[in-house]
Amino acid sequence: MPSQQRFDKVLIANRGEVALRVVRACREMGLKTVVVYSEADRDSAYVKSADQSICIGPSSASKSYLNQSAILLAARLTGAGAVHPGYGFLSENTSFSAAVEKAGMTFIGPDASAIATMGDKIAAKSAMMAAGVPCVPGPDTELPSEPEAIRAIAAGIGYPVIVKAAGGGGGRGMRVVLNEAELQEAVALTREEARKAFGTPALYMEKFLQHPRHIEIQVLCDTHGNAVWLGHRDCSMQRRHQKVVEEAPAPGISETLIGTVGEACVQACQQIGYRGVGTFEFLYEDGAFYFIEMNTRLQVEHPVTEETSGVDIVQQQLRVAQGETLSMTQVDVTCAGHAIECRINAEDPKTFMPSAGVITALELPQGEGVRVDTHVEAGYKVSPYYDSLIAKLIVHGQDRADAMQRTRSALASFKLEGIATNLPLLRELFEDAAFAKGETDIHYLEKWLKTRGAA
Amino acid sequence: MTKPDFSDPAIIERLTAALEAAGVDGIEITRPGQSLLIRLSSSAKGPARQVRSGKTDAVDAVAIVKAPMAGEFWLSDLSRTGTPAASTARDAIGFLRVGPILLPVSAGPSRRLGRHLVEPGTIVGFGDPIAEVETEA
Repeated sequence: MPSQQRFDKVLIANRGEVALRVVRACREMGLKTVVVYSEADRDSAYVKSADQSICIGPSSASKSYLNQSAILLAARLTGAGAVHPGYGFLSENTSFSAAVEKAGMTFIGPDASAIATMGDKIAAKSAMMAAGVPCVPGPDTELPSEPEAIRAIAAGIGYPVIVKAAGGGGGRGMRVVLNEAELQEAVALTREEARKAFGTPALYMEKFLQHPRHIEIQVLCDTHGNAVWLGHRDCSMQRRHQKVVEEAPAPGISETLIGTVGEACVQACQQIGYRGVGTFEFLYEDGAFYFIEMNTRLQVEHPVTEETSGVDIVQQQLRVAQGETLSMTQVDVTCAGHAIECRINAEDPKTFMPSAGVITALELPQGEGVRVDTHVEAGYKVSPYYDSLIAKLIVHGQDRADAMQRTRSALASFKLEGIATNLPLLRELFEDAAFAKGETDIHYLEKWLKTRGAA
Repeated sequence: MTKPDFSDPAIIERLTAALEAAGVDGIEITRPGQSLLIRLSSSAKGPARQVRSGKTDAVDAVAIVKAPMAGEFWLSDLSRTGTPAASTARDAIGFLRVGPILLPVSAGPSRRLGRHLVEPGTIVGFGDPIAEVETEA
């Protein structure tokens, strides 16, 4: 263990597959781990995978995985020197990042100010424009309250426009406006929704792109001013803003074009003093990229970038948090082959209703290029309290066609009984010709579902 | 509808959580052959949650005292280690230590400590069983 190491025990403030993923990375680096869990997860085998585990509260996430006091208490009791927030829950919570640092521990993620800047969509857009990152047409300022001024801004952008909550994200707090007649009512409704949902009525307005793809760039930054980007992903296969399939690299994007955007992302990170891993999310339409938001945490879909870049992103997160200098520069980053991730959800494949219950049988696919990140096993009880994600199937191939074929085989051999899952839907989707061809937009899956009568 | 078994810890826990969320201090359910008493602390941050469940014809119903939060378990009186002792409402069957704070864990009114289920110095989590207590005859 290097003498300058800041911590030797990591508390994982999360659950399920990401908790197990962080445990694995820590173990490979010789770090001890603490897993916290709720009453609902008490009997799950994965909680025993850590060196220590401790129950922090009832099943309700608000009283356990979102309970900052309970998590900090567990960290203090177990002597953890760092907290890894995983994704979701408290991973992008400004006050949690600050509280962990205030308690004398290391938050494995960016500092509170960077999370706050990127959490405020107006501030984030302003920071990105200043760094030369391409943004969706529209001012990087809050929408004024005067109707005439709002009308002028919309006219300047050109219809259709989209009104968004500054504190929103993940598809919430936004409204598309097709023409001037709808404008004032849409602004008033969105402002009220934003005030109630996000605690601030601040709005902004952008051009509404009608057939974009969702493409994102993974960055990795240390605390010494070094940053690299690890390639790009296509996450356009979504349903109700929830990603279903992700792949890397995004098909059909020229290296020259994406290279410019990747460099701009790196410069933006250096300008705001960003540390750790992060993801710049873009809409891509007609050969142009438009920044939408930055996620200041590990992404669910990080494995596809790991498979193509060969970089263990979670280990890099931990090294950066230890204060180490990045071991690579941009010229060292090379991506090879094609990777696809399928989110296996405990839900009905037609109605998408969550499915809770006991997994009675489980056989995971195996083979060259096949990886499954999961915390479940036969006998595991899927709880109704949390997200329906129970496993991630990640497949790496020589190229996209190879990866698609390997994914079809892996999905065919994936056996999970006792509860409903979206496996039948995924198997069907991977037989779709347009998806096989690639470059489908963010609306494609919902349209495809409608044609099969399941949307 | 299936008849609930009030000796099932899972049912009791769910019921307790629901009552706690509703701000109810306690509830007593009796029916032929079975009785259930759940008494919650008067405030949400109270020291312990006591649950007693059993058959009405039982002489001494055994209940489990669970940790109300995570902490390092310590005995209230080291001389009592492992020894059943009488307990009153004000008695603590142990403490949860978190840094400089000691949080007493009580057995509840008219309860007798059966045995401790964890060793002193053990880190316990929310809901972990700490001790068995019996209702005094």
